Amino acid sequence: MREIHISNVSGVNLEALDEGLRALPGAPVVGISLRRGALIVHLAAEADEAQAAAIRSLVRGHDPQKPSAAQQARKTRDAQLKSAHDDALSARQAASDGATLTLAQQVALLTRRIDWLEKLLEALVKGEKTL
Amino acid sequence: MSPVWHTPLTWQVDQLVTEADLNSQLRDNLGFLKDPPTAFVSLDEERDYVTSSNSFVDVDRERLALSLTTAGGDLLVVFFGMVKNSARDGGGSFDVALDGSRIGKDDGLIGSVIVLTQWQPVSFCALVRDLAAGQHNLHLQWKRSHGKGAIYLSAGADTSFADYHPQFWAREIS
Repeated sequence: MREIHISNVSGVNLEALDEGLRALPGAPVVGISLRRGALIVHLAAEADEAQAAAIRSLVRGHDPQKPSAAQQARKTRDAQLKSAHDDALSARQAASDGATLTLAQQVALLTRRIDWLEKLLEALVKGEKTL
Repeated sequence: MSPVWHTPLTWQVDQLVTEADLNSQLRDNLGFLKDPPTAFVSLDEERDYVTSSNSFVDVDRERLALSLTTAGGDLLVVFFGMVKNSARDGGGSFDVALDGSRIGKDDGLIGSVIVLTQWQPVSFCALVRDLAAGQHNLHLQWKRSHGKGAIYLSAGADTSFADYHPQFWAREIS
């Protein structure tokens, strides 16, 4: 196995950088490590100099603020859950305030609250949320 | 100076016991048993370590490394630390490279599935049998398991609620 050491690295988004490196053509990347401020890229023994150069270039251009696909999906999921939660709270308030609601209106409010619970349960089952 | 082990003599009737015999057989050998070859590392105030490697790599070739000279026999190798994985159902595996060869082989000495991405303890005591006398080098190695996330090792780095101090050591025990 080969290693590329890059010293004095700060602000690494490990998940995003790992994803980007593995997506390189030929992908000789076994993984990356952080040791006392240094970034180490682990490469398969057969990695050639062109691949090593592509890796160095990608690391130099790494933006830790840019999320990985999985991080972006989690962010979107969190936003959807928050929105559903806010909507459920608002539905609960509307139900308690509306003494003259029709049955259809009450069902609609209840459906909004169930929708949030469904989303929350799904996220818990997938491990995207913990209790 | 490190204590030296001398192969015990078989005493004969009427054998003259010399100063050299007593010093080597009693003083030196008792000193060796009291203070056997040992190498010890404990981390404090380092940065936490992390890897996303799918193959075994050194955790830290300089710091989590042991070097000792043995008299030949069994070697006890111990590690404990707190680890986590950034991914649910991710995990990590640990092994030790002894003079460049992993003693656990395959998936290593020990593996851990980390269900809820929380810090959890990992430890092992490994016995290396019949190790030849001489200088030996040991390096702690790890990899993520299940190809998920990245595995972290707390290294006493003042990490909030995870300021744990791993130990890695080896001692000749026979």
